[in-house]
Amino acid sequence: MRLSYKWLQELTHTRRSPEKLAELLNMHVASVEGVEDLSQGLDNVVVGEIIKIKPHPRADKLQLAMVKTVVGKKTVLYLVVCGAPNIAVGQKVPLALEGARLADGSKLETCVIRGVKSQGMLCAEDELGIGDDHTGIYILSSGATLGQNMAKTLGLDDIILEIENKSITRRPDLFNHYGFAREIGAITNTELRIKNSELRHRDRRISKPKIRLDINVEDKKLCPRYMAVVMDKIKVGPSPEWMQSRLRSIGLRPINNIVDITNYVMMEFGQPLHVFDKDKISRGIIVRFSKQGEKLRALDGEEYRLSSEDIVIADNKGPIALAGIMGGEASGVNELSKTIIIESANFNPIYVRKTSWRLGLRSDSALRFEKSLPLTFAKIGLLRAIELIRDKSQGSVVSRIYDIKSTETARQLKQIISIDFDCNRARAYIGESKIENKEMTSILKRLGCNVTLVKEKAKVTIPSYRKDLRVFEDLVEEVVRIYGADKIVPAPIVGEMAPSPPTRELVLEKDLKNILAGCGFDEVYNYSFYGADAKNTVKSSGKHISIANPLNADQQYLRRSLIPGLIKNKLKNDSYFSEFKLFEIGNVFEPQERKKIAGLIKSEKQDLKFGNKNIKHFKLQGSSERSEERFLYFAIKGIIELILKQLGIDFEKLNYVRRQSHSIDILLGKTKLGFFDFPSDGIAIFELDFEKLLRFKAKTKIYFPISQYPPIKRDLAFLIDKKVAWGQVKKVIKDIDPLIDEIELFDIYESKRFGDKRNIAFHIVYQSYKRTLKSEEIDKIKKNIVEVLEQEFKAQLRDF
Amino acid sequence: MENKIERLQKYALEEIKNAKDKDTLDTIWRKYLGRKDGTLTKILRGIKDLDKDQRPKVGSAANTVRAKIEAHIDMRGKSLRQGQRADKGELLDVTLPGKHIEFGHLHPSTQMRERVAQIFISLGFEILEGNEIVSDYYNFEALNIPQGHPARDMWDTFYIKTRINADQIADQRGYISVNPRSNQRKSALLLRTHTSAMQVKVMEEREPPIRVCVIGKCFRHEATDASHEHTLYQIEGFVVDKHISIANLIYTLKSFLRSLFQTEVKTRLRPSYFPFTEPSFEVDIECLNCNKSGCSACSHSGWMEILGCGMIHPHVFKAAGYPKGAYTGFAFGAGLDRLVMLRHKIDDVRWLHSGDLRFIKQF
Repeated sequence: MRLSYKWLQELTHTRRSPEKLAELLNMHVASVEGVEDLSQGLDNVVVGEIIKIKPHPRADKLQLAMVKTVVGKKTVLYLVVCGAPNIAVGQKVPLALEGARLADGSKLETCVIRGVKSQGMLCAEDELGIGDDHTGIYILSSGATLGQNMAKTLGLDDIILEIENKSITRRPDLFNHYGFAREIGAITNTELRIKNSELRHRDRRISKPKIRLDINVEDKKLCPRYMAVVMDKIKVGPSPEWMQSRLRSIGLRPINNIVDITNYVMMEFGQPLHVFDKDKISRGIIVRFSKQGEKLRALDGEEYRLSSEDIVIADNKGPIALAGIMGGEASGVNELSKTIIIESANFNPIYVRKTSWRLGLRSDSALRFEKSLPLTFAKIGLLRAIELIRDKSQGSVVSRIYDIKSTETARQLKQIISIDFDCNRARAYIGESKIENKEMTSILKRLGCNVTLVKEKAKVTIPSYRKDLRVFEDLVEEVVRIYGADKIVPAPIVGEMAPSPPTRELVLEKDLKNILAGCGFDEVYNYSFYGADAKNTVKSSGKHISIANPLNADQQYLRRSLIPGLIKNKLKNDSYFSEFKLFEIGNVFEPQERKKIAGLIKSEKQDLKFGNKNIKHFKLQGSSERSEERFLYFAIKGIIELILKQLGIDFEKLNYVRRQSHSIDILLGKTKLGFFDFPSDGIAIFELDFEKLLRFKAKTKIYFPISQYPPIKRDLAFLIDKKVAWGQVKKVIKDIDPLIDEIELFDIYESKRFGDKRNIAFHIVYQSYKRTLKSEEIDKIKKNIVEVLEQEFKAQLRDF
Repeated sequence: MENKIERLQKYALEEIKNAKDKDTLDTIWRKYLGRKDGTLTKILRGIKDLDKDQRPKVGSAANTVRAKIEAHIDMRGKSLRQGQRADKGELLDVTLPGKHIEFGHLHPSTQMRERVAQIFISLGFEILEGNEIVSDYYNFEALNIPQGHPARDMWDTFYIKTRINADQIADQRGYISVNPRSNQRKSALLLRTHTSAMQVKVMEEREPPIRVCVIGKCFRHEATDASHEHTLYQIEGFVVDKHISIANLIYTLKSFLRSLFQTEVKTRLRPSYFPFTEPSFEVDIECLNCNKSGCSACSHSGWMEILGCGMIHPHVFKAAGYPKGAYTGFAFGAGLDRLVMLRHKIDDVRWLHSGDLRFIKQF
């Protein structure tokens, strides 16, 4: 909302500069987004008077105007080339002289137009920055002072304080100048120039009503208060210059004296008003819900299709206004209007808000009503409007002042709300012992409250316009913000200081991230949303949660897996990196919300290490022929094994179960920890369930004794049937003798000459914890291994 | 005799020091230690002709000098060899890169989360994350934002469409998303718009004193641009106890900001509005970018909004089921993304969810 500095000055006694005032409001009332000096930009544009017009010697459509103005105390004449059709001798006009800065920021230079040197320029509305019109020169009133700067003439020698609307959402009483003036008075501890009591006195009875108006508020919940009055002998015309300029300065376009007065009152006291041309209304006024399918062409020229949830003002033919939002075009006031109905009402904020948002029709009126305006504003606004219209002798009241309200409204208007305010409790709440009773009660009084203080306890009566003050804490807020929060001395919390170690979840998440970063994985954050394409790539059969109001179709589902996000990242990074590893830890919706950890490896390298040896010629059983996939298979498995090992989970106990062609489930006992997969060329992915890792994670790693005796390492190689899994072989060997400590595969080799068999080679580490092993013992065990493998798997020992 | 040996050592070492190449060193070696005519060799050979009492003394001195000369020749030889290599330029291109060691990069937001969490842990806070899908009740109603409240405009919300039984969404972590107090099991489900949605949930589950910090993902239904994201991370902290005051709130926030920026930052509190705190404040810090002289980062005001805070509203305590007036408390919230952007001078929030490794690998 735009606040006029001059207007605030008129209402208060403030002598603070606009910047100081902005700072004051910022620290005590609301966010000030900016301070704008309106006169900036119209330097060297002055009031001139046309004294002579003659045709341009070389152009049919141009004229030469002799313009008189005053510079210093001297009268000066300028010859100006002008193309506008609406100029005439005797008019006062805006004259831009050399060096003038126009509204669009450009600088005027003297120029020669078709052989005639123009010593300046006459300006249209758009060049002055006060409108969009460019059809003619902006003609000033005859009272304008020659030589005066245009900014001053237009009332633009004002400074605007831009208030962030969001910061006064809960203060409907502040969407106007009077409300802010009251705040300034409270902060600076000064009286306002206009007091509340004066407004009350404006309530003068109308003696002989000529006209009766039928008003029917169908449901008082829609409209708790509806006030209206009829005025006739209206003379519609332009508003006086001062009012036009004031409206312009706060961003409103002057229309005519009647509409301008309603806007002026709204900006002064916060009550939106609407005016109907009575002659355009068929009989009385009805406030009701609209009917499905009803239409209304509003004052903005657009036609709106209404639902059954919109509140409308209607006559017996149909809707004539969208209540609290915008009037209808057909019933609006224009130059021909003679008799008008002024409406000053209070509409249900929820419906106004809903309708305004649904229709995308935001207006100053809706902005105020949807904040829930004080019921008293309706009367203040109506009386002020009558006063302004009468003062300008632009019409007279011919009906009584209607005030239709529900019994609830009547009760609320009479209700006096008081809050007990214990000064000691307030000091404790603030944590500042220095703030005195007197200071606190004085602040509350300055804000319009009535305060009676008995010892430490005050009874605070709340003014009608402060619906936001209902509990003790609300009053503390008022005291603190006027007193100044920055004056409070910080104090440490006094209390029991219990240790709060990080949760197991937090620790595990950090551990996982560190493990993966240590393995060269870069961490990404992805959106929780994806579209149908990604959804279809998720192999799980379960349902996806959809968003009722997605931003777009590509974000309509909540992810069930982190994988589609990683695949998308992969495509994005392909052009910059030939190899990378990515991971994400985040929540998915299955539909239960679960944390997952997923990774992706993109690699072109085809090296594979078992033990300490690089393996070059190896085919993965039953896999496709894509060789890189085999290497990725081991790479991804290596990562999973490392993660589990670091978490203290015995990865030797894992089972891998192939589900679909490439997807392999990872099981620990019967619990599925996750899976890995090769969704396309050159990449491997995995996803693990965070909760399950948390469940199986070792709380503490237990030390395993290290033998004092030297281990003995021997190599063995066998030709063995391809169908025999390495895991089986390993298990059988392990069970042969307790001295076998470790079995480490280091080569696996397939060749046509082996037929159905393959060569596997491994180290066996023999270790005793009691003594140094002798060569003969080892040979004996080795012989045993050879025999067992021959028996079990028909394996043939190979010599090196 | 001993003087002679001493002089000999002096000359020999001098010559070694001045030697410019290996050949000279060889000559020096022959001159002093040569089997045939080496000066020192001769002395050693002549020991047997000396007086008996002189022999051990001279012998020991001569041997010491011999060892010393040999060592110096060796040393000088080594240094000459290195020098030659350097001269010929065959030593090392020092600008060649070191061995590439693969290391992953944690997302800058992860790093900031960790930093913030550590500070709050040190201040005695418990760190929680909470659910991303929550009920309208916890996100709004319990926080004193009923249906139709104009403050709902402050948070544009994503709602859940698929009709799912709330029990199905409740997960093992125990965060059931509906209001257990009212019997209506139909509170709409939505993506939390702020981590404040955890306040009443936590308060229902435990008795004060409470010191909790929630760091987690939140969602706003708004179009993305350089400074707006529909997916964001928030830090929420709240403290509930018997005598918590505004002064405590200010103290805690100042401690946090001091630890975070590792310097005494100047702050100011402006009045603000949140339905779930009363009073509410906006905390600004002096712009770290321009030192209060005004720059684009602080919209030329010299101050930057860093967090919102206030004293927990009595209606929130009521929703949590606490007896009236039994406790007071404060709450605050800050955008994690903003802190990340400030710290690393990132000019576009969209980088954070870009998944672009050219970005991630910088941290």
